Amino acid sequence: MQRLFSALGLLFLLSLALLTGCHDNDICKPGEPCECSGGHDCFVGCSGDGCNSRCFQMEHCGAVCDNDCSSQCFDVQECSTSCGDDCDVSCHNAVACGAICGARCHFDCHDMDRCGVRAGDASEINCHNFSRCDVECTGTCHVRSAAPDVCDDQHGCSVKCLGKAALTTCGDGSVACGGCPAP
Amino acid sequence: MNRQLLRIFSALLLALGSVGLCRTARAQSTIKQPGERPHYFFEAEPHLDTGLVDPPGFGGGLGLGLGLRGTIELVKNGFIPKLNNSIGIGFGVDYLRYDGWQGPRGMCERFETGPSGTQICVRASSSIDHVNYFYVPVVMQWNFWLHRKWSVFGEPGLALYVQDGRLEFTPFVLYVGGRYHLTDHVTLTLRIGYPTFSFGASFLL
Repeated sequence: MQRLFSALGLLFLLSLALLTGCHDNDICKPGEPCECSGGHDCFVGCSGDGCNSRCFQMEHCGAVCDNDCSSQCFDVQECSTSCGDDCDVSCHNAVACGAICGARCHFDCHDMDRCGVRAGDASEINCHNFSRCDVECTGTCHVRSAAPDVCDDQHGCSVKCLGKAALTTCGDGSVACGGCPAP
Repeated sequence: MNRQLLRIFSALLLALGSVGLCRTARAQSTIKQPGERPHYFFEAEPHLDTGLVDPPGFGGGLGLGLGLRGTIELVKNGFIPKLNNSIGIGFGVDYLRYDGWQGPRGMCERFETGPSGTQICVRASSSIDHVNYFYVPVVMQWNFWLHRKWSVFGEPGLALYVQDGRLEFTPFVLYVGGRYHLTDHVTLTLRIGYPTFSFGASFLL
């Protein structure tokens, strides 16, 4: 009888441990990593600066965040990022990656069918191993391309300068809105 | 909210459990008399469900619903020959509606078309109002027939579940529960565990 109650007590304690071991809702907070993986759609909404999101193994995934946001996306059909200034957007191994970001945006897109970004002033854009890379810069920006190495319409790469900065082809084959960066 | 409810519920269970066990101890016990229990081959148990802890998958918050469990007795004398215990296999279906969506997942409320024809989400919902779950647990039910009025059980198992229209699998569910025997073949049955708690009636057929 004592053994029975010990076993039952153990089961009860185990179930209580399970209950207390579960955590409350994880919400996406600035400064804390949050991620989506597995499933169909996930769009992370994160209010405040310094958000850090990660998407993988989904169909559609994206982040909507404010300044100083870091967004990673891979193994996803379609990645999406919308953020404020000083964002770091990285996409790879997907079908399409699109971003709308503010000033000083770092957009890195590789192993992708379509890369598309509308970036703010002083942004850095890198496209590697893509079928199409379309960039729209609202201020100055610098666009690097690899595989194909040249960023022009013939190679599926286009850069539009939507602001006052002029489109410039740099010596290393990269393209800029405004002046090219010093070598 | 969840933790507060959990604490209250745990305290109630402990209190009820101790009352039940004390009374059981005082009265004539059947635990040492293998086979001294209602004879049945199938237990049908409709019940109300509550989800007080985050379920597997992406649901969260408080879940409420209803379900049905059916258990077939497989072994009349269970793993401990000297005790009045039995083994069954239980199948069930439970529907719960949870009022929260766990984690950062949300839906996109507004897309804009970006360069290269990309669809860019510019406004995401931070949460979803609710999520519907259907569980299909399969468990081994290990019964201990303590007393003519009381029996308890443990149920380890696994479950398929459908959340938000998607079929998923959890390799681990665990319940412990107790029955208060109103008659030989009708009991009130309380079950606690992961992922759901339930309270209903069992009909030992």
